[in-house]
Amino acid sequence: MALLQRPFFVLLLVLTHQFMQYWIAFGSVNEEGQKQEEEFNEELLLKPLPDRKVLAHFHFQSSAPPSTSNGRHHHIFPKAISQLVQKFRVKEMELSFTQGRWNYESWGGFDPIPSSNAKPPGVELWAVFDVPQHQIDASWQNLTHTLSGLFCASINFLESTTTYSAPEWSFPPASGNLRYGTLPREAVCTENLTPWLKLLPCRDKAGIAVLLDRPSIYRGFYHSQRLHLTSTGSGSEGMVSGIILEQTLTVVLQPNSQRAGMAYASERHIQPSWSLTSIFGKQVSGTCVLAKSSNVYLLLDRGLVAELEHLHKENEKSAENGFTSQNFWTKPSFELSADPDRIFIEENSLHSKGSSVLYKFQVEKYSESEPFDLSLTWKIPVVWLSQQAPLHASRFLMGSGNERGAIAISLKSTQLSEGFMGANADDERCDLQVNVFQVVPWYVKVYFHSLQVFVNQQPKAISDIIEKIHVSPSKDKVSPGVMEMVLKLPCKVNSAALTIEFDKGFLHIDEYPPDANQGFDIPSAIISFPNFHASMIFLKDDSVNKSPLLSKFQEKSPVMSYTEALLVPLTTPDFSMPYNVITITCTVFALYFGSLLNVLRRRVAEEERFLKEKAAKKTGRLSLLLSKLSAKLRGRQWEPPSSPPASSSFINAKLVFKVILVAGLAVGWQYFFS
Amino acid sequence: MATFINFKALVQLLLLPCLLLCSSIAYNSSSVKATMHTNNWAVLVCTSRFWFNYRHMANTLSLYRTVKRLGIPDERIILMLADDMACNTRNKYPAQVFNNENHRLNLYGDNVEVDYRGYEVTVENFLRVLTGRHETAVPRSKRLLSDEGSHILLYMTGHGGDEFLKFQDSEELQSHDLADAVKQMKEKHRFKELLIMVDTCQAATLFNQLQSPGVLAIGSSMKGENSYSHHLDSDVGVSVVDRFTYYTLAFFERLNIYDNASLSSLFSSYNPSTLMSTAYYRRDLYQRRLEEVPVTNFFGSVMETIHTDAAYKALSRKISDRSESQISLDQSIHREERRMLININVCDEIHDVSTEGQEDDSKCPWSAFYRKMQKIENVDSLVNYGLVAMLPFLVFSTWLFH
Amino acid sequence: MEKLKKKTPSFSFWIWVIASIIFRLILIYFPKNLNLSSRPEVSTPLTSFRRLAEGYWLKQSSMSPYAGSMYHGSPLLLSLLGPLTVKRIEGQPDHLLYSLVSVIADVFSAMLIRATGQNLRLAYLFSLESLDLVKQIEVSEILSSGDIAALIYLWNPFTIVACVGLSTSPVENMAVILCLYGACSRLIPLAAFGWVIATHLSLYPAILIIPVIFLLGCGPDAPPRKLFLQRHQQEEVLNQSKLPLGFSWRPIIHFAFWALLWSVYVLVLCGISLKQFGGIWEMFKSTYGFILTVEDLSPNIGVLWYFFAEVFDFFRNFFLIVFHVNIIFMILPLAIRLCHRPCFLAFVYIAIFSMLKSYPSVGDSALYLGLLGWFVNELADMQFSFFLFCGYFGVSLLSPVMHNLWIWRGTGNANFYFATAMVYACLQIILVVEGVSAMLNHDRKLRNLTTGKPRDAKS
Repeated sequence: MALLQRPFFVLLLVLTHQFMQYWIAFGSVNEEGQKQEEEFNEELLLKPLPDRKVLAHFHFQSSAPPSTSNGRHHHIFPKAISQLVQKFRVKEMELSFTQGRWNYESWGGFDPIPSSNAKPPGVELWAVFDVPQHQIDASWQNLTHTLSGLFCASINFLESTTTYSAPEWSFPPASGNLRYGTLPREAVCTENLTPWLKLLPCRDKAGIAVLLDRPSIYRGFYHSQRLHLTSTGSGSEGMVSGIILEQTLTVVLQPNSQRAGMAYASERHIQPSWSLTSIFGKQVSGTCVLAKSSNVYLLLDRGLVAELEHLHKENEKSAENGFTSQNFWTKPSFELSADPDRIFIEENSLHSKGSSVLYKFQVEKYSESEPFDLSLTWKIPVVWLSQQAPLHASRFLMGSGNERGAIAISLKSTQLSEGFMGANADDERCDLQVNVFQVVPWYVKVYFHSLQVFVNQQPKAISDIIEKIHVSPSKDKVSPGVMEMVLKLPCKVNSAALTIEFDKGFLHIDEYPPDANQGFDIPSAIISFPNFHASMIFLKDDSVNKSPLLSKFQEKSPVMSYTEALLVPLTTPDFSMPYNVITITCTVFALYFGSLLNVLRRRVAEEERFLKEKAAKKTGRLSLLLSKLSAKLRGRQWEPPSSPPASSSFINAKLVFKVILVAGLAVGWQYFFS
Repeated sequence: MATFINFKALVQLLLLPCLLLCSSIAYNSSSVKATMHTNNWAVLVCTSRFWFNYRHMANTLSLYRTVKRLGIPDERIILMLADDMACNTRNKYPAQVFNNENHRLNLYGDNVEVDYRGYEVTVENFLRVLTGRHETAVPRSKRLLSDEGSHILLYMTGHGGDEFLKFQDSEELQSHDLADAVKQMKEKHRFKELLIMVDTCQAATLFNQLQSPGVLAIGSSMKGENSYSHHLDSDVGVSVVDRFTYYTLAFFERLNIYDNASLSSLFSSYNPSTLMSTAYYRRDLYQRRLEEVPVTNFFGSVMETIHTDAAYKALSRKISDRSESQISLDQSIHREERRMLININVCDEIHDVSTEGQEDDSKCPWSAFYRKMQKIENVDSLVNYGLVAMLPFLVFSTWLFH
Repeated sequence: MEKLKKKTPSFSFWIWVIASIIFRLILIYFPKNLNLSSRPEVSTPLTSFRRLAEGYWLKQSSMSPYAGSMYHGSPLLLSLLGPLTVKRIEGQPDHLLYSLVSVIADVFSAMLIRATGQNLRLAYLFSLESLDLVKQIEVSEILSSGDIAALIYLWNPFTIVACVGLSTSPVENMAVILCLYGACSRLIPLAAFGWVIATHLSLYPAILIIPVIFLLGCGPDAPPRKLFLQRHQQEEVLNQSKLPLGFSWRPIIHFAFWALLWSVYVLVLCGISLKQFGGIWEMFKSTYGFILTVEDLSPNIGVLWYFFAEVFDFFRNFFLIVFHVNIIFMILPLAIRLCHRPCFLAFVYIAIFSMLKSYPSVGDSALYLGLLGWFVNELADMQFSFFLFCGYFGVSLLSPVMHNLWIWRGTGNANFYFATAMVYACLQIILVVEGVSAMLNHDRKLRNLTTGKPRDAKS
């Protein structure tokens, strides 16, 4: 069978032949005639990680070409998404649901996978609109509501202006029509994945998506489900723009290794062996029939390949050097249950370390009866490190107490990339450019004048390091604070830190969430390195271009990483007794008003006169009252003994006047407020 | 001829109010009597936050599963869950929720649609769902789009007390609020019959204020009684289901979609000794005899088939109406645009005039001063000069008056 | 004899003044350790030094200083004091220049208080003389209230804290005192200048226009005019020179003219400095608007922050109106009752608005406590003065403790801190009420003395 022969072909480097085979296998799908067809591709990339874990990266791509017809019928492409794009004129949008945090130190930070798929915890949404400036906010707000209905999540909380921002230039798809918002606290669970899967033509019933077993995915250390859509065509009248919908799901799973019991010293370094069944509990039994291509890849990253090469060389020192070093992957130190259909080697590149290797498996070859279950068994212990971003970013809070604090972003040089930077440092002034984008909610009141920069633990003048800064300070209850910076650091930098002080705000009692004492989140900051591009360039070849996943890998995108989300405890007022506060405060005010007025209107002279009268007549106020009362009891009109009747009528007039005044005031108030 | 037409018009004019009156009467009478039970809706609410209230979410999800099994589709179920238990970090079984120790049934299967969750579950949102007063942008899946032929099941569980139910441990739904919302629903013809089922302590007190006809209420306990949980799952670490809901489910597990069990048989299945509280039914607002009402009237969706002579008649008219209104909307938009254009023109003119004025009236001292002001770039220094100038001015003026 | 008597206290007065300056300078050298500039008692959103620095930073980076809800002060203050927030002298504390400005403002205010106090004392003596009460009230007992008030102002811990804590209240207080000084010594442009600046900086001094008008119209504090008339009727001697002047409108018109001139000047300056940043309307919105709507709910020594943090949102506007009307409603009764004592009226107004203002700080209390010294002679019989002193002392100790427990240790509760704020408000109320009552009693006493009824003198 051709299947068995394939390794030999590879061994003989008959790449052209294989290409022919591939052409034969897929040739029926000719591109010339059916360019305007909707397409769907499903791919899965598996990658062993240095800390005994496995990365699984699902990549589904549906595309709808631009069409001239007004109404539109979709065969494969999800209608909900295309309606959304048409309605809100979305040019580009990305929505991600993430649980857990991407471990940049051990899972790498330089590959295309982490820099475009490692996302901040919770929900992140950004969108670029193709509408006039003044309509963007309205479009954004409607979009959040629609997405919240579509994905069963509280994305509609991003509607309020306090939660989203408009980055000017530091966020990669820089554009004036961009809106960016995150919900770090949002829970991610089955109900978010289900509608996401419903956008696939085969849902999770056939094809690679079958593997998505909820309990095993959510048991993982990290999972991030992402939806990226780009509308391509022009938004001119009559023309409905084409849309590319890219759905990815990145999971980091711990294979439950069978020999956990026999982990003695020599075995400890052996990476755990795994198979699709052991990590997902399921296996792939054929493709989704609607998919144009359906592939599974196994990626060995640069560090691992370099390590394997090294081991291989040591083992076969006696053998011919040239041969072994080139072909170590044919006699590898691990075993695959299925033979790869193709092997891609990264076209190197600036990195001296090695180039990553990609094994490709085609799912079409398998069926119900013979399901695809890739397994990887390690034979010798391997230890390697993933490739890191030039600087490792982390962020933390400083200070104690609930009044103020400081946010610090620390950038530490990863030793691995030093050599790489050395290679770059031809010119005298070698600079490492770092973009920082940070959004802080308004109740964290940042003092931008307190920004300090430390390079190698030495305080530096801000103007020396920060090349460009854009700040839009937060407005209470209106908008969050946004800080965008471009740092120019020397290449030889070991560590750099930014600190900025803030005061913690105090909210109204209704603005606290039900679990206020848990604290408030500051969304992740984005650190990107525009001079470094995370891309893997494989041999130029048609099949590579055809695979959306691999062409994604080849795109030049800047290396990006997210810092931790911060949890800021805020002071809470007492929630239990607002009434007490209101009544006591009002009492104090009444006390002030009453007593001061009393002092002002008390007249000692009158008291004196009154005393004199009392002395003269011997009739106190009490007796006056008594006489009044007795008169009333007798049913007769009581006549004041001294005062003339005119005064009583005068008093009455006064009373009437008062009543009228009050009534008039009330009427005026009512009129004014209605 | 002409007179005849006039006469006809007159008659028509006279008849019009009568007709309107008649039609409105007919409409009313039809709405009271002849509306049929056409659809089923369910609003299932778990109002408790925090992990130790796992059982409330399990209660709600069990009910969710039951009504789905008995035929109410997902788009007619509004599910409100106040916290995330399935993917909670304390949950040993991620993406799974169980209501029984035996873990036989994962309530959080592959196809759960949660409409309101987390901080969205508030009294305000709950009342908005019931009364249908949403913001315009709220998607259809988050709305209760019931009509006068709807049977609605409203299930609530959480921590409650005398005439209130706590939401998220921070705010309360009072029995008055509930009664007002139900009354409003009735007036807006949002339901034909409503079954309110509440599993909380002193649940019966929550129904005290209800007045609207067509409402049937079941509470798990009387005033002064607590509702207890059924059993603890030592694997999960918390109680997984409440007694009242547990026995309700036990009743429904025996049923399938075609069973004809009546509501009274459901009510009689509650045994105070196993519930450890007295289930309470308020049926004085409900007209039909409970023995004749199958439970699937509320907990399922079993419809009679209706034969209509002319299909799509009403529907088509509606559509045409809508298109008309759309056209008018478009027209208005056009008008708006035109006005804007005019405004822009006006602005331009003004601008032109002003620039001309600047050019021409260079003799005018004010404009010259203004332009000079424009030219000064360092505004700050100007202000500082002004401030400094203040001092001698002050001294001079004071000296003058001394 | 008289001159000798005067000289000795004056000598010791200057010693005390210099001592207070030195004390401040010493404290300025430990600002980091004291950390006073972020205390809620010292820095409210309006007077905070850090917010001033932030506003200046924003302005320097060509943004509106009112962008974001940080700075809420005057743009003039920004161009005057702003540069001092960043200027540093090597080897010296960070904000030395700024602190020096505060110290100078304090000393200048004290000098003005002293001058005004002497003015008032002369007026008091004059009026006693004209009432022929010099014998009954021993003149030697009359203290030189100016010196006392100035020393109280300089040595008041509240003033010192506000000065060392880098708040802007020394400057605001100076403007208020300048206004009163100008009005007392009939320097109309100065009075108008002080009034306009004080109003511009903190809005509430606007109501001081009433005492200023009385001061300009009838002269400084004196016993009620009725008394003089009575006296002269009694003695049937018409000595016009001894009668205080009637109300004259001329200075008022002058004052109005100057006030208009100054306010136009100030507004034009503000307008120029905010030309690129949304103009003068922006300033009104984020200074006066911010004061009137109590947007910032961070704790201070007043009561409004907690009240508005807890009150239901739909009552918010109602209570905002109620609380501000509380200040305004008291203006008229006080003005009617105390029109013959405009300086005391000004003191009462200042005390009331520093008690009821949206963001009170100890700097405001420092002002009215200093001015209280002017009336040592008149208020000698005030009740509860020891209680009040103990109260102020206790509150100023307890309030930081409660704040610490609540914010820093997390063991206390907002209610504890609020309780001290409540007690503080009550103390201020008692002070105002008792002060007014004592002043009225003093007038009664004088009347009784003049009408010759010594047996009722006590009442």
